Amino acid sequence: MTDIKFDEKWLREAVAIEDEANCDIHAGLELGQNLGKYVTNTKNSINRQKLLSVLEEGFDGILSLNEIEEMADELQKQAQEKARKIIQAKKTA
Amino acid sequence: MEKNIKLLRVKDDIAVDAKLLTLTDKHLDDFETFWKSRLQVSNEEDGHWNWIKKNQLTLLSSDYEKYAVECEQISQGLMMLEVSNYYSRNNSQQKIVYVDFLSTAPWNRISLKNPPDYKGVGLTLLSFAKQRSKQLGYEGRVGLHALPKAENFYRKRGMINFGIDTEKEDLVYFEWLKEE
Repeated sequence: MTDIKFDEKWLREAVAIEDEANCDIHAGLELGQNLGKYVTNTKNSINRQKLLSVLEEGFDGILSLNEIEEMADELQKQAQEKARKIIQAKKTA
Repeated sequence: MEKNIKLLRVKDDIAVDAKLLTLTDKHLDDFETFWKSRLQVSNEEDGHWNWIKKNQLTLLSSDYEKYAVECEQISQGLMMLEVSNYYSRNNSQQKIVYVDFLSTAPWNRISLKNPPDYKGVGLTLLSFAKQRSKQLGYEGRVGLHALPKAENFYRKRGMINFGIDTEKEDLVYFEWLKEE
């Protein structure tokens, strides 16, 4: 297997590709802008950062970063669903 | 790990020497000192990412590899890979390198500074992820969840779009399959 030679020729081609795409290159979960939309599906959202902090403290060294984020996702979904039901029940009361 | 690379310094269109190396405290210090405040006041999609915390959480695990691109003594890009526990969406028996996080310095983003200081950081990191996949015997398979503004780039790079992942904050999942 030949390693990529990250020389000037390779760089110039890479820059041409980046220029053509005309966007910044990023990847990864735990969104900023979209997270807000995701979390605030209901009026009663919970703060993801606080939730992650609590989970990190409790499971530090036991769960991986991805597992902690997955757990946070699941807890948020459950909280949102519960909040949605409560709001709906109050509206119809 | 330390690898010599080149970045394009935009102001004079010169390919300057840079390094791709294993993440160290120096890079985290750069994030804290030079990146963080600029990203937090921006509307960038990764504006609240905390690389120091990400590093702490994965410090004891051998499943993660973390890299930085350094040029003129400053961190220009950061990347975290998960190299052991991810499998292809195309074939669940085949391992892939998963790009947990990839981001470039605020001054290298056209959304924040146009023209940017350096070009080539993002594709260098991503190409290195592909190289690691080959080195690990995963035949070049790489997966990632794209931040929305970057989807066009991954599409153009020939990554397969597996659609919106409802389990992962509704981000679109992309994968490079085995390289022929």
